[in-house]
Amino acid sequence: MNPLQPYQVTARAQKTAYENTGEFGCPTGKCTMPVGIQFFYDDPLETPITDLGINIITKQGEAIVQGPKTESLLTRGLQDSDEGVEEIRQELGGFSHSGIEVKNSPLSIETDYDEAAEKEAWEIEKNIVAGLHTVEEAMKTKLKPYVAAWQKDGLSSAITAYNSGRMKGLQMWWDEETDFWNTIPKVAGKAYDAVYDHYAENPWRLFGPYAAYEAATNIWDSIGQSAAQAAWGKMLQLSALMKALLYGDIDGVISNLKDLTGLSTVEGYIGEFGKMLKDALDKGVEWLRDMIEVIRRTPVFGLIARTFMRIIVHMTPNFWAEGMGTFEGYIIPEAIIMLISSIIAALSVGAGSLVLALRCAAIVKKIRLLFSGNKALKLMGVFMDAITELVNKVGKLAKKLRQSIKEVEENLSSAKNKAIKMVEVRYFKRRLNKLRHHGPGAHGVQRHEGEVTAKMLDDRCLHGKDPMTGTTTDGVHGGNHGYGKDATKINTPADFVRAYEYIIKDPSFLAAKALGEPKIITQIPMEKIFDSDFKSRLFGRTRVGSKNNPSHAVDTVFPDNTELFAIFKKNTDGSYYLYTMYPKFP
Amino acid sequence: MIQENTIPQNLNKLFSGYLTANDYEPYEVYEMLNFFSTEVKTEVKKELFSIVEKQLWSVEYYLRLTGFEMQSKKAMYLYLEGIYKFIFESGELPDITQFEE
Repeated sequence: MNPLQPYQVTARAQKTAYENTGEFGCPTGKCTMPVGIQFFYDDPLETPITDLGINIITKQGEAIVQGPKTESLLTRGLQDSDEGVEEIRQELGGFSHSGIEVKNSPLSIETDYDEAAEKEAWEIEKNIVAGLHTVEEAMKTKLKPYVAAWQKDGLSSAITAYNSGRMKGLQMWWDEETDFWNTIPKVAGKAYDAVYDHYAENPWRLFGPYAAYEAATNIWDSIGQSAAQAAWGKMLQLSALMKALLYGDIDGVISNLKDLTGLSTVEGYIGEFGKMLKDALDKGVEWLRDMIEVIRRTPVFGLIARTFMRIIVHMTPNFWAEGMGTFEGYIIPEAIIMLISSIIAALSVGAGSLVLALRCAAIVKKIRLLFSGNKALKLMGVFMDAITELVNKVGKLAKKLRQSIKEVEENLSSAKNKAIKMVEVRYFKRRLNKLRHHGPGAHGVQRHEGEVTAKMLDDRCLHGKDPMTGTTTDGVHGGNHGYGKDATKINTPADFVRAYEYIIKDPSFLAAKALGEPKIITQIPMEKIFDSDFKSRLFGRTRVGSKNNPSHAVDTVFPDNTELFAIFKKNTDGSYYLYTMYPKFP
Repeated sequence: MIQENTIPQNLNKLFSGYLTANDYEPYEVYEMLNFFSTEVKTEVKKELFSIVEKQLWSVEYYLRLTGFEMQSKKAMYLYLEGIYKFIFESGELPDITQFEE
């Protein structure tokens, strides 16, 4: 057994020290009371917020206890995925002190907020977002030869495969990429099924006689056919998990992760992934805590999921065929499993849960071995490495976010030893929903937020269909819907809310508000709000052709001086509400 | 003196607030106009007149400003002239769809 390190001894000693604080043996002892608090998230697992610095403040505003941490796994000599975590889970995230003088009550307990940590978290976030943009652009360039070859071969009737649901959960991602797939020419008279069957049975005949066959054989041997099929059987959940990450839907993330634990019964490392996930959920606390905080306060996981899936769906069937000699794309679930394992590994490292981190790293390493051999697989490997490198930064991001949690629990009285503080995990979603119904006719969220799909943006800029109604009838005033050449959105709820919060503090908004104008129009450079690497946070579709003769839509190319345009309307009580808000060219 | 392809701040409150393709609400433009002081109103009127008279905006600029892609420069100024009359001379609202590409 390894000897305890000083930091481990300190962590274990803290609980006893504070719980036994007071004066002993004093005949005129001060009148003291016990005070306690416990921090939880309100996620479906009620994850305790461990290792959270706190201060106890008197009614006079004096901090009488500064900096102790809420109880963590370390204080019990445990870490994520250890035996025994389940039994003590509900006791974690708390702090108690037995020697507070009654005269100081009522007390407040506030988190030990670190402003510098918040700034560091923002820098890490920007760094990850910038990296995602670079990866996406580089991969699109590298995939161009495959796209060109696919177009030239004219075998595109098989595209129907993607639209007919054969690719299961990926359908929801392909809907986002209509532009890309619409550029692939349709070949009349070629039924999908005939092409599909031919490829599925004899893929190597069409795409590189030996290389593909060899690659396929190696991969099946490596994964194990039944394990690969089991992973493919979870494609809907994997895809839904990525969507949940995109939308910051913590309930969806946890429910899909739980569902994936079903893979624990299969062979090989797909089974190892299932088992790891089961332990991580059943016996995990601190990696979950950090995942929730990242989702609660940043769009990072959403943007990682979005970039990852955008690249995956830009891989044409000939790419996959060259890579592994099959049409069915079994390797896509493996790639997503590798990404999820990388995320859990990064969070575990950040949380100090090294056992779990090592298990995840082993899975990542084994799946990574698949991506070698021929050119397509190597390219996939380059992509996975680039994404993993960015994901690795999430652990540090989570730590900085935890150090900058800002919460206060007031009026703790002597009668209540233990106050439960539920920290809102649906932070941005909740605020987004408020903006959705901010006032009469408010439609910024409905038309310009992440859940508006690329298809809806296309329908808008090409055919004037309002995303609110799906028809040309305007969802606000009931007349013909107004639309321009560009239909744009902000990708994640977190960024939408943050952009709004930036505006309402901006001097231009405050000046107009002071004047009492009936409508306030603000135009603020995106760079000011999100810094220079803002482009991964936005998405848009731009019509090619005129309104009367639309041809098709392409991805909007946002210039460096893109602005955040917003309109606020005045309520009858004189306050203002967000009417609309979207990225716009200056 | 208004530079080419620029819009003065108060005039922008009318165009960006009420006359964009995404949120076309021309009949509500008067709420802002009536909020303006007489001085500002006169200034805004002069500015729009000057833009139309000197044809200071390009079709591309108008597209970026409002999201409307006009058929031609001529069509755009016919429309803007109509808008000027609608706002300041109680004229009829020009039908934007007749001028769009």
